[in-house]
Amino acid sequence: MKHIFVTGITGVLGSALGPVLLQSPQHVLHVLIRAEDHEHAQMRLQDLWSFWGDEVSESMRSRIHVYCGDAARPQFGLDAETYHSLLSTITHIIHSAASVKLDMDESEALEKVYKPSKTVLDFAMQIHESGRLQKLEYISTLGVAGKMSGSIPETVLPARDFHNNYERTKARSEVEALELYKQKKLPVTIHRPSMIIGHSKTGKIVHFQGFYFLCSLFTGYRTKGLLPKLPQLSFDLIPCDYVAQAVYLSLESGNETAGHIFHLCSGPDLSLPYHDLVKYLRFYHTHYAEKLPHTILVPPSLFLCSIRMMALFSWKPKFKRAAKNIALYFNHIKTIQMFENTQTIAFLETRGLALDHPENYLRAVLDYHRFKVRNDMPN
Amino acid sequence: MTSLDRRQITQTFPVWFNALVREQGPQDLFFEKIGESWQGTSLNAVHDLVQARANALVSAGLKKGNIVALIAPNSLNWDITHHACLMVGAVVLGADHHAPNDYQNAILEDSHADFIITDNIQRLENLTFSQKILTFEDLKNAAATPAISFEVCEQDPAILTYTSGTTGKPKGIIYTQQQLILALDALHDHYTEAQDIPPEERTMACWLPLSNLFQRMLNLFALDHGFQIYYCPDPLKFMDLLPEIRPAVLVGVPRLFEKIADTALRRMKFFPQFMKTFALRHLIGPAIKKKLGGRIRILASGSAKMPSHVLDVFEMAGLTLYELYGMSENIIPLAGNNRSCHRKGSVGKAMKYNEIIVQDNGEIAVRSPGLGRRYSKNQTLNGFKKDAFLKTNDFGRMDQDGFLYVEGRIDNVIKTSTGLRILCDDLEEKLLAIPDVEQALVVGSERKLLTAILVSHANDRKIAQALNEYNRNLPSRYQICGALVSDIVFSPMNGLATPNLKLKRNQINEYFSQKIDDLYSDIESHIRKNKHISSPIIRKVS
Repeated sequence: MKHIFVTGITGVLGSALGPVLLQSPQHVLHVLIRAEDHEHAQMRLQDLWSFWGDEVSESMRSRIHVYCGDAARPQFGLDAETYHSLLSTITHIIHSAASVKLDMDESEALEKVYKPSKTVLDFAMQIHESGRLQKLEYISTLGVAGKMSGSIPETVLPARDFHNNYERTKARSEVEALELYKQKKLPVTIHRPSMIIGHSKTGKIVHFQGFYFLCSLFTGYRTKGLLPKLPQLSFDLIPCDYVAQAVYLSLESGNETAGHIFHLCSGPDLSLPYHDLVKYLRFYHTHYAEKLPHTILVPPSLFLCSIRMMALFSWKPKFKRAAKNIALYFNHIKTIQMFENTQTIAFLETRGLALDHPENYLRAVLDYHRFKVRNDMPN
Repeated sequence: MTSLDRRQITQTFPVWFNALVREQGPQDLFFEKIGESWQGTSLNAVHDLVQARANALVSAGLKKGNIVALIAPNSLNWDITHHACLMVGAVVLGADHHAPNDYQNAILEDSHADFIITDNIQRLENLTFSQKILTFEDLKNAAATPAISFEVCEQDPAILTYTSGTTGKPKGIIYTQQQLILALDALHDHYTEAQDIPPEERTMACWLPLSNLFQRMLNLFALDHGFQIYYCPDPLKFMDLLPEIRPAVLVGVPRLFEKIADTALRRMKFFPQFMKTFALRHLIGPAIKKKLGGRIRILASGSAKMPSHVLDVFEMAGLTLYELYGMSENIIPLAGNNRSCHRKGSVGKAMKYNEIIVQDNGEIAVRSPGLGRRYSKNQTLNGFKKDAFLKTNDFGRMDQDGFLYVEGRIDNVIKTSTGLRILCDDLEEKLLAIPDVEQALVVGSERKLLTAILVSHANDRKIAQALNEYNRNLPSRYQICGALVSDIVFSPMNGLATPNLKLKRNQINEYFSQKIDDLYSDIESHIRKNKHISSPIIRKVS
C-alpha cells in the first residue's frame, strides 16, 4: 500500500491528479483540505465529487481520507494525535497547494505560498528521518524563471529578478526543497509546469485561470477588436492530464527521479505563437458561425492605455477588474522565454507519455470552457 | 402491455407485430393520399393485408431465408410487403429506385436476391437481372386466411442493406430479427419524449425513401408509439404536403433544414442588426413552425454534419434540432441528441447497447450487439467480430460528459511531422473558395509545413496572391507554403477521383510524389536563404 499525502487536491492540478492516483487499488490518498470547519470541508469535497463525476467511483472514493486543516499553519492545523498518526502512515507526498495570485504583497505571498511549502518540507523531513518517506513530488512553476530571458534550462537557475512576489516566494521554496535533497538526501522531484489548461481529450478543468482569460481577451470582443501587437510572444501551454500523468510517473519511479527538475511544458517547438492564437481563435469561432470584431493591432503601450481609458468609463465592475489583470499579465509578457524540456520529454517518453501538439487539443479545451460558461450563466 | 414490455418479451418481428396489432388494432395509423384526400387504414386492416401478402408470396414460391429486393417509391404497399416478408422469415433488401442503374445492378448481382418486387415493371427496364419479378398487383388477390406461418427465430436474417459505395464497391450488411427489435428498443429508450406527445397529435411523414433502412426503422418506431404514418411517394413534393400532414416528428437530412434556414436568413436581411434576434424568435420562427405544419415537436437530422448556422437559426426560432449519428454497419443509430441531453454541435450521447470510444488517432469506434454481419452469398457469414470495436472511419472526439462530436472522415486527416492533426476538409473547403480553383488537396503528411495541389487555369501570380490572402487569417501551422498547380482535372478517368468526384488522396499524392518532394526542397532552400516564406511558392505541373 502507498499512503500518499496530497495538498491542493481541489486545485487545477490536484483535481486532475486524484483520478490518476486512485486508478491503482494500492493507493490510499490522505488529502488536506483548507477549511474553517468540517462543514466547509464537506462543501469543498462535494464540489470535487461533482467535478469528478463517474470518473471516480464510490469504491475509489473510499480510499480517500480527508483532513480539514491549513497547510500554512504549523502541523497543518491538525491536532497532535492526527498529525502523528500521519507521520507514521504516510509514504509519499505530493505538494501542489499554493495561491496563484499574481498581485500578492510580500506578507500574503509568505502566508499563502512560502509557509505551506515550509510546513510540507518539515513534514517530509520528519518522515524521511524515520526512514519511511519514499518520495516527495514538489509542484513548483515555470514562473520561477522570473525575468530571466532566453532559454530556461531544466536545472537550478542562476540569480535573477522576478516580476512579482508569487514568483519570488515560489523560487525560494523550490531552492529550499533542493537544498534538502543535497544536504539530507530528501527524495524530492521538482515539477515546473507552464500554463496549465484543460484535459487534452475532454477539455475538463476545475477552474478557468490565466489562459482562458487571455483567450477571451484575444477574441477582441471586450476590446472592440483592439489587440496588442506582440510579434515575439508565444504561449507555452500544457494540458492538466499530461502534468498529472507526469507527476504520477515520477512518483512511481521512486528514487530514480529524486533531485530531478522536470519542465512540464510544450517547449520551444510546440509553443503557440501569440498571433497564431489570435488567428486560431477566429478559426475556432467560425465553427460556431460567430463573427468576431475586426482586429486592429496596436503597440502594447497604446493598447494598455486604451484599456485603462475604457475601464475608466465602463460601468461594468467585471471589465474594470479585467483591465487590472491585463496590466498584470503585460508585466510578464515583456520577458521572452523559451522553456527547455528535452530531458523531461526523454524521461516521460520512455515511460509511455508523449507530448501532443497544442492545436490538437485546443478545440476540446475551448469547447469545454465555452460550454461551462454558457451553461452556468443565467440567461 | 406497454410498448416496452412488448419488446422485452419479443425478440422477433412477427411476435412484436402481432402484439402491436392486439393492442392498437382498431386505430387508423396508415395514410395515403388518394386524389385530393388522405385515406386512412387501420392497423387491423393492415395486419390482414400483411397476412394476405405473406400468403401470396408463399404461393409464388417464397421460402424462409429467401432474399426479396423491393424497388418502389414509398407507399403502404411497400410497408405491407416488407412486413409480410419479415413475418415469414424472408430477408428484405430495399433498393433505391432513384439510384444509378450501375449501383442497382451491382447490389442485385451481389445479393443474389431470389425475388424482385416492384410497383411498376417499367422501373426495371434498364436493369440486368435474372430474378423472378413480382408486382404489387400480382400479389393483390390472396386471402388472409388460413394464415401460413413459418417458425421465425431471433437469429434468422431479416434485413439486408448495402453501403452507399463511396469508398468502393457497395458492401452488403445483414441484420437478424433480434437486432431489429434491439434497435427499436434503443430508439424507444432514447426518445422518451415521443410518449409526451398527445395521442391526437402523433403524426409522422414517411418521406425519406423506404429503401433507406433508417426510414423503415422510423416507421416501426412510429407504430410502436401509435403514430399515424403519412406516406409521401415523391420526396421533392414533400414540403408542399407538410401543412396537410402537420407532423409532430420530422426526421430529415441536413439539406432540408439548410433550405429552411436559408429562406429564414434571406428574410432576416430586411431587419436591422439589433432587431434580428427578435425577428427570428417572434416573426420568422412562427413562420417556420407554420411551414412545418404547426404541430412540430421533434426535429431530427442525420446522414451528414449539419452546418452550425442552421442549428443557430432553428435554436433562435425556438425549435431544437437534434442531430443523430449512425452508420450502415450498425442497425442501432450510434448516438443522438434528445430532449434530456442535448449539446449543440455534437451528435449526442451513445444510444442504449452501443459502446463508443475515440481511439488515440481520433477515430471513432463502436462495439454493439446491433453491428451487422458482412453479407456474402457464397460464404458463411464472416463479418464483424462480436466483441471487437468496429472503426467508423470518422474522426471525432468525445467530451467529458460523453457527448460525441464528429468532425470529418479519418481519411481526410493528415498528421504533420510536429504531431499536429489537420482535418483537410476545412482547409480544402477554403481553398475551393478561391476563384478559378476547381479542385484542391492539402498535402503535408509527415512534413513540417503544408502545401496544396490545386487544379486551376489561373496564372501563378494570381494563385500566389489568392493563397496569401488565404494564409492571412490562418494560424501559421495551417498556412499553405507552396502549391503545385495542375491543369489536369482529377477525374475517375485518370483514376484520381471516385465516380462521385471525391478526390483519391493517396493516389494523387503518389502520382505527384516526385513533384511534391521537389516543391518541399524548394521551400526548404528558400527558408534557408530568407529565414521565412513571404509568399507561397507555386510550381506548374501537368
